[in-house]
Amino acid sequence: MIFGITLTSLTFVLLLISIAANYLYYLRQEEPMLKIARSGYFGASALILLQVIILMYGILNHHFEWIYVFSYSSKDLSIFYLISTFWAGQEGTFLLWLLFGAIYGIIIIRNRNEEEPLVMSFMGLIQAFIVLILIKKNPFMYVWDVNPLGFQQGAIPFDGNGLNPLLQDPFMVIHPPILFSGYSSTMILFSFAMAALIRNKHDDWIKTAYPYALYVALSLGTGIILGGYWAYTTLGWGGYWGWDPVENSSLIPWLVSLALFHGIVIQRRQGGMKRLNLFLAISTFILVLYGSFLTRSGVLTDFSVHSFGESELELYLIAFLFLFTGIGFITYIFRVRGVKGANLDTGFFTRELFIAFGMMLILLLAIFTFVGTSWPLLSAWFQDNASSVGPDAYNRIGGPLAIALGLLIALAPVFSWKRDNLAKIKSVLIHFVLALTTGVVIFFLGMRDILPLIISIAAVFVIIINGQIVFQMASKKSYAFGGYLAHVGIGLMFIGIITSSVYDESQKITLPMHEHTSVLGYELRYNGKETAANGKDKVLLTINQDQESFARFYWSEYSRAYMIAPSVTNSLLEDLYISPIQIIEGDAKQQSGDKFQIKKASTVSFEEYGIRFNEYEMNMHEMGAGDMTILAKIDVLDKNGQIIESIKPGIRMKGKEKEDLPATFPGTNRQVTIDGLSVEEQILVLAVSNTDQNETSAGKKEMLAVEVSKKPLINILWLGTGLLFIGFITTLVNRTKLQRL
Amino acid sequence: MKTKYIIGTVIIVAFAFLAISSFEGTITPYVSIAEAIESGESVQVKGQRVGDANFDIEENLFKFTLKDEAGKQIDVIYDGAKPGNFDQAIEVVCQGSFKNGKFHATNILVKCPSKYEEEGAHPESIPTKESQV
Repeated sequence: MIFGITLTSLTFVLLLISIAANYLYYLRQEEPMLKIARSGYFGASALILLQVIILMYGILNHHFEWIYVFSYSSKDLSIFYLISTFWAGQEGTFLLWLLFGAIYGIIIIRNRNEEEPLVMSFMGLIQAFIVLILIKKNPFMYVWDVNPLGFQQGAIPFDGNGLNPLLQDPFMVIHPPILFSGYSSTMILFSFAMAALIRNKHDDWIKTAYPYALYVALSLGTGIILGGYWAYTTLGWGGYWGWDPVENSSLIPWLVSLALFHGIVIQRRQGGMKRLNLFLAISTFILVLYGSFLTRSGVLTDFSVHSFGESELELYLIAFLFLFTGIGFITYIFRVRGVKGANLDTGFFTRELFIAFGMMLILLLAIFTFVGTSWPLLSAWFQDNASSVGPDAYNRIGGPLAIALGLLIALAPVFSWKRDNLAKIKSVLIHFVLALTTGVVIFFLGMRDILPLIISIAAVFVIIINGQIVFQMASKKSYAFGGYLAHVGIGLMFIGIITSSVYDESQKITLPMHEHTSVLGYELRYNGKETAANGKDKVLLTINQDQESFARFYWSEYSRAYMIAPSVTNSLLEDLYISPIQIIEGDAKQQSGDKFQIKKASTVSFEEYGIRFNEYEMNMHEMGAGDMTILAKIDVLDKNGQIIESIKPGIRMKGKEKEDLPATFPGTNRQVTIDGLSVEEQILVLAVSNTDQNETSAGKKEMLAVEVSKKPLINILWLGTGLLFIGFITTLVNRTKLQRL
Repeated sequence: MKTKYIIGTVIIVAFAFLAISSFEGTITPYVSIAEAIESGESVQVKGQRVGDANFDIEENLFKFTLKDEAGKQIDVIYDGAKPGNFDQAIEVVCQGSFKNGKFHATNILVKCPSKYEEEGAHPESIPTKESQV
């Protein structure tokens, strides 16, 4: 659609004008320039919004002639999932990124800081580069322009390719927008840091940037956690985190943003960490670009369980990454000498030092994850065989790191800012004793491994100390408790991660249909398969005789694969997680037998009998729309042509599922089933089994192979993520309020 | 106040040692089937599936045969679920080691001809429990 493509190009032009005007205003302070710069950005933002609306309109109204709508959407999607089609592909997510960027830019302009012209120059530059990608790969292009061989000029495709069934999930409706609001917000930090470096004003920027740094950490963190819920409830591999490159590429900038706002807290309090904060602000954004490059360009295709697009955008993304890495770090290197930090020499047992050590550990984990994720690329440079790093590497360093981090988070609030006072540690002696006691209790409850036990004790220590502060502050109506609440959340998450993934139990087992099977203390029954209207067929399960549950197991034409989704039964103390592996068909259908074809009103001879097919009997309205029953009226004749018995084998169609209604062959236990039929031509294919029915029923039943796992106390993990989220929100609201006052 | 720098350095050095040792243990190189048989260590092999793959109900194991670019074949045993898109796979990457005449896979990555491309929140195959936290 030429209109859409024109809009994209026009956005680019307006952004260029805005960048130039902003920079000129910065150099010469001419008021008209500022007006042009702002109008340019507002104009570009309006155009971005317009493109978002048009694309959404196209998706909702099935404009399959547009390549994006054709590629990711289809007519059978509900409105809910039609909306999420918007971020199913690269162009849509870039558009989302631009939309958030536009919003952030307008907020910055409205706040009228003195940094505005330079900050907005960089914001505009980044936005412009993303628009450039969209010009190259535009969602509004016609399918016949993109693929002239496959599509006839002007012929609108009847239906689209459809949305990946894995993405048809409530979490996938909200996870990408939240994650992209986070990705996009990192450019605010980059722009503020660059403006601070260029203007040689290294103190004021953190005042404005602090709420944004919190916002980056909040939105990235929420996006990551929602992604974890999604993996847990939808993918059926039993976990919520796999240290996969796709997960890591959002984890790394999140960790750096965590370190950054802690660093800003220190800089606000006593003027240290200036250089580091600038570096971290630039890095957060660069790492988001690097993550986009890793996951969107296809360089890691052989190294990840995720599938990546082999994208023609690789070159653009590399250019994007290199350009801004260059701009950011070259400016940093040349300007950093001018940054004069205050001396951090305030003593050892101070709050800032404990926070600083915490930041260091978080950054070490970020570096480790960065190297591990990039290892396939790095090793390909200096080794003959490329190699990759397994998730165990992260799990191994995770333990010691969690202990050290736990102790720092627990003790940091105990000490004062600036004053070195070891004696204060006495005030938490009782907390420590409580934590140790809890440790003894959980030891006897079954946690016998040393590392998990120490982590749990450290985590309890964190929770008691920080939790107490939350209560004290809340009772005094002070809303500054957000940080402490978030730390309580972290402590709970440590415990939840240990109980649910170190002490989980898992067993593979086959469940015969309609039989009780005991596994891991539960009694399970497989009740067969149920066809679902949306194609996501269910396998029905009964847990402990009274609780109905289901997992999904279905063929997806889209992915050309069997899709599974687990049955997750949440109870207070543990989750029962049942993941289907395979349905093993029963023997009944595979038994050998005779098949023969009969035309209507004719007789064929079968063994010593004659079999006459009279007519079909159909019942279409017995069970509602789409269901029908077809019976074949058959006479079995003896040698003399006398009717021995009339039988009616049949089939019942229930949606797409076919159920046999067998009849019994007179005088035997042999089953007569319909093997094929044509109602129009009035032809019938009958199958008569060789074996007696008694033997058949003794044969193998249909079975469901499943992996059953128990996840103890996983609710603690979810509770922890919830508190972390609330803690962030409280701090953000509290901070923004303070800023206004 | 030099103490904190000393402690900081000690932490970083300790972390570096821990990191390198955790790292080395889990690095798995990509090798050919011949090299995998020879080394017996944990490796990754890439190849094509030969013939049918089946899930052994008795042993709860998934079995198939893999052929690499050099044309060498190997029997693979996987103690996990058959990946949903296995039958459509063009290429299969198996992580594991060669023991007693068979390749024991701990993880299978399946590469499918996907119509899909996306920012990445889309596993085509299902990671196994081994890759969990």
